[in-house]
Amino acid sequence: MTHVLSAFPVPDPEPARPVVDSTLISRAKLGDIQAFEAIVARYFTRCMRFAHGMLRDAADADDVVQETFVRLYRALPRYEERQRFDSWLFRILGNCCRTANLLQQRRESLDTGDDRALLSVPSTDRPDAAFDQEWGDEVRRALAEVPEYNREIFLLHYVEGFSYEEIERITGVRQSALKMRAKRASDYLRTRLAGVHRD
Amino acid sequence: MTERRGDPGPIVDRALETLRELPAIDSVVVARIVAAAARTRALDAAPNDDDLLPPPAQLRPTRWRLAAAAAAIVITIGGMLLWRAQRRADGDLASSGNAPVSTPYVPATQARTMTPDALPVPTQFVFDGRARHVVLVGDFNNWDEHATPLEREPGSSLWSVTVPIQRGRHIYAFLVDSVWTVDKRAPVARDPDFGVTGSVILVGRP
Repeated sequence: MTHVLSAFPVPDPEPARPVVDSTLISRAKLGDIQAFEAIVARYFTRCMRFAHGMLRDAADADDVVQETFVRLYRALPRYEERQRFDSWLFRILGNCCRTANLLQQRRESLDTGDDRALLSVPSTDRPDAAFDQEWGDEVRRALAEVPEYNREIFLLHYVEGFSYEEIERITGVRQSALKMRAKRASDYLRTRLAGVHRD
Repeated sequence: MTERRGDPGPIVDRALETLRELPAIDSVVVARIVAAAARTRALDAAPNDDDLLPPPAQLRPTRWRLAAAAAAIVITIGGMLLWRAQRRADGDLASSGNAPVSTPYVPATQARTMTPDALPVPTQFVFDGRARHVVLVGDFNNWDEHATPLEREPGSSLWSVTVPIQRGRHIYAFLVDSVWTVDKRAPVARDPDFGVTGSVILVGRP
């Protein structure tokens, strides 16, 4: 199955507003907790969305996002504003998600035969409000099956709207490899969801 | 930020619509994050770059950890205030321009309960250069740009300040006319995630 090249709009993560006000960052760098709170409120939902997509156990999302912002706050004095703020934030978030997945994987290996390994997949049949739609369940189930290193690039590019150039700066991976990873994730989802999709 | 690429196709396109839905903002979680961050920076005296944070499962504070943190803050602030009061009494504050490094001053009531390693150590920071004002910021003063200004020695380009600091590894920098500047005399720190440099000082080690 081949697909023609076409313009496919990647969402601009901040279509109407500036990435973040530099005055706000300057205040937060100096320890102004209210400025930091405004930054958290500004990026919280995007971080949660990304964490839910990345984590083996979506229930860890709260803790991982908290860890990310705590690390961000501690490192803020050393933040150089020539870097794009959200790229820096998602770099930290990606690291935290990978660490959490590793810990979760170790827990699962220790819990062999336990129901926890099954429950840890963020696509269960639990009566969770976030997963109560069949299509949404299937999408998240399929996404969870994509290898982490492909899934992260797919989410950063297609969902969070980062260009490959930005993702290269975030992850340190070359653009050619990034495009291949995003394509593999996309191909897997297409095949996996073909039987579920209804036009 | 539009790029040309292989079209993911309608199935993936529809999946993306689902994945792009933003969750609702949870003000309780936001408040918890802000509280955790404030607490962490106040206690930030990491002995090395690898322990920036405990694993996620340990993030939620336990009662004993909060109690230990509160005790550490009280001891540190009390030590600083008493040390400053002692310096004023000795009449040497800001007059010599070359503050001595001495045995930490701690009142007897505290000294009976603190081990030597828990005492803050007066530590001198020196910046050499032309500037209108120089400020010391570090994990030991919550990166507060107003807390620790350096004083210039009359007739020279040497700026210095002495502050009591808990033993251990600390990261700091100078704000020279509001510009972040590392200490050329100290090793450079590079935290694993962030790639922005500060200087490192090891306090209380020979």
